[in-house]
Amino acid sequence: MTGGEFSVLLGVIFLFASAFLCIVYGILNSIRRRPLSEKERTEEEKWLDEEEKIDDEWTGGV
Amino acid sequence: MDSVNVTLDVNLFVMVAVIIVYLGAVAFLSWLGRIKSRGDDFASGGRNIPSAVMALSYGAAFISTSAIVGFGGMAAEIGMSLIWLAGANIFFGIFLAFAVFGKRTRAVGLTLDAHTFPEFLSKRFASPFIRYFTAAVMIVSMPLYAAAVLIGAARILESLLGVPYEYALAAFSLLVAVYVLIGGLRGVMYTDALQGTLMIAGMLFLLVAMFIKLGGPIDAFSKLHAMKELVPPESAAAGHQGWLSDPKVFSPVWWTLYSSLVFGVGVGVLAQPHLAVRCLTVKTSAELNRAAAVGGVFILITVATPYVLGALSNVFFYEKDGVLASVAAGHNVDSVIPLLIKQAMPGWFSYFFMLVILSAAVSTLSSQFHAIGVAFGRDVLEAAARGRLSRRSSVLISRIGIVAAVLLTVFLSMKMGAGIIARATSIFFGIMASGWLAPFLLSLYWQRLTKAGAIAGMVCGLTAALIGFLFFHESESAVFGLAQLLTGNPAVVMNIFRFVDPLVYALPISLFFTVVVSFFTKVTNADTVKKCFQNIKNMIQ
Repeated sequence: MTGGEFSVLLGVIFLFASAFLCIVYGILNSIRRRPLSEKERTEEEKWLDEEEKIDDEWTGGV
Repeated sequence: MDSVNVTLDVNLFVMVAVIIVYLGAVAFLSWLGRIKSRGDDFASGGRNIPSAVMALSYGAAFISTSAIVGFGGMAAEIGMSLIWLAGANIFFGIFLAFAVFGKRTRAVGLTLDAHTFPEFLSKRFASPFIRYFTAAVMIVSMPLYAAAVLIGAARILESLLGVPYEYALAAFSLLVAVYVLIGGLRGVMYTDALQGTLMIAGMLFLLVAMFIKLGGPIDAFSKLHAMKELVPPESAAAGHQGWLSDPKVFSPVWWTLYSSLVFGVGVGVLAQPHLAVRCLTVKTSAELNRAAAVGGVFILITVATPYVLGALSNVFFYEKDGVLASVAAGHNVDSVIPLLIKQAMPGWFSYFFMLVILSAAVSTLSSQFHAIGVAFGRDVLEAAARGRLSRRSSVLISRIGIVAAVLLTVFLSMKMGAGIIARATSIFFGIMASGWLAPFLLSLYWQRLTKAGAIAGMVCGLTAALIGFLFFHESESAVFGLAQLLTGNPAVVMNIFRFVDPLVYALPISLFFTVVVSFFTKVTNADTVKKCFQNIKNMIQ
């Protein structure tokens, strides 16, 4: 195997390793999803509440 | 360049029926986006887009016709070493973009109530100048990129169906403009998700069918390996060593592959405004984790497949006609994939491939038009009006901006010459990454980064990239002609440096000035920065 061919092989490993990393990271973090902290929940809920109050200007509140 | 007939043998009525069903689905999803939208949703999708939709939308907006047809064709010439770009697309464009930078982008964006990329940077540094400057650069340069995608799509329609180029151009633009205008970002993302799904199905079928055709993956790659003796002498002189091998290190092909494609497109994606803004659309940081998984699989299938197909097309054409793929395609690499579909795939697949191509083009164009329109409406006019515009007026102005963006893009598409697709794409990626990557990423990690530092980084990086494109990087400087005027050569320096992408030196220059100027200036909005970093801590595990 030449150096150039070895580099392509490394590229293939890099490709699958990156995809594997994304999949494992995504799955693990979905399974072990902790509940939102009080601070975070409050922050997001506050923001969402504010959004809810905004009049729907396109649909007239549909 | 020889002309090769790649017009597919399709039944016009069946094709029209398939396209009508497709358009019906797109119209329905746009309408769904509209009825679920509220005022600010037009810019940021309401910040409660599901992770799978967000990931598919990001991927579909990222991967355009140039990735499938353009880069697939390039793989027919360069070979499997392009697989490094697919790996970079996943590692930088998905894993780092979502799991690392995306969460911080979302946390800071939420803290600042930012809905667009220019607004994000402007509020992070308390600088209206940054907002206008970023939006202006987007408005000026993004239509170039949009035109490249539009030209690619129209050329494919023209070559596959025999539709006149101008009609294809008009039909595409009209279709995309209508549903972006109707649905805003939510509509764009819903339709992107549909299109992303079609792209996955189409690419998977292509890959499996190609392997079956060539006797299985092991046989196919063995045959490709055995073809290394067939590399044309002029390609070998430029560094080509076969389709299963990297080019010679530091050869012209090597620099093009690694500096322009792997580094420029693979890493440059992190600073693309229409993609970065996707991280602002999800409800929680956890959605970004799930989006990373979906996005990783999506890019693996949709990007790696055309590269593998492109390389293996040499085996197919050599076995069939005794010629290399580029020769079979009349030395026009953009025709390799359409020709492969025509000659290697079953007839019915032509209909499906048309939808895949439509999807790839439309999903990218819609994001581009949306980003340009919102930059014009929200970041320039609304910001200039300083709160005197109502929310309704702002959306209306964004829509006018989208119409203007479509018209400008169509105009550019009519004017731009042949072979401009890759150059226009690389110029846009280069400009955004050179100027914005360093300040944007540092803004997520470094509290000491100042407004002056960010502006210095943006201006110096952008200037360095522009100088590079105008005078030093031959593939662009030869088109602009300034280097020719000054030195009589297509590039100012005619050694190997003419193949080095400007991003390679513009990004370090931008980083240098961002850091150094920040050390000598003061943070002017310490309270806001503190709040941003506090929220990063709160929102990220």
